[in-house]
Amino acid sequence: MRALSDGTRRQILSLVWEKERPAGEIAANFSLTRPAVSQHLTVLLETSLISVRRQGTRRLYHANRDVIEALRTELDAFWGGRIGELKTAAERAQKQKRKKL
Amino acid sequence: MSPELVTIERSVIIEADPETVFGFLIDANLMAEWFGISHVLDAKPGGTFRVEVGSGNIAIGVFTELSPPRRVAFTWGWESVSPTLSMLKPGSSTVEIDLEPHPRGTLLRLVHRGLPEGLVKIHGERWNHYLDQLTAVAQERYQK
Repeated sequence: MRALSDGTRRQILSLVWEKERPAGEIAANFSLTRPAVSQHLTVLLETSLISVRRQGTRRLYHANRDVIEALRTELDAFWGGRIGELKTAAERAQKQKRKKL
Repeated sequence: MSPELVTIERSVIIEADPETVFGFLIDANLMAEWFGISHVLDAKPGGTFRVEVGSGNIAIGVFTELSPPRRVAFTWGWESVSPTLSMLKPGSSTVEIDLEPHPRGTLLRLVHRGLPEGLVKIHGERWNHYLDQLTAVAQERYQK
């Protein structure tokens, strides 16, 4: 979850969502040093949000869409649940207010 | 009936001299630029290392060979929150890294032996990434 809390990492994910790209091409989209971008790639890789494969001498990064989708479903369930609770609590408060009137 | 063990091999050309590249393999501060979150390294034959690679995943090993600036070898295993990585106990696999002078700089060859089949993909992928990162930081330092 912390891996997704950073704006640069979310931008990297969108860059490699549809298309595989090498690290140099990813870095070219940011005004950060190449090692700084690499650190973000490390976090994404270590949390399995992206993968990297070899193609000849190139190493290409891509988003693990199934992992991210699963995380999104989990988040939706979490916040969906909370929003539901909020709605119930608000409606209950509203009813009580009406009773008092 | 021992399970089949696999060897991973990787090679990259780094546009930096072997001395520069070697520093990144044995110096904790330099290693931090390409590999791991926290580092304890005692880079001498028989010396140990503990590198927290990802949160809760600690790579542990012993240096078996150090020949600056050409070769470093060490054992490799994990102390990890991940049951998969934990299967690879410290001492159970070995990594050799050789640096050869090359017209463009250095040819780095990495050989990781003794990996159980189930751990080949994760290690192969990680080495792809980390060698890419090592290439970037070593080249940057060399050009300065």
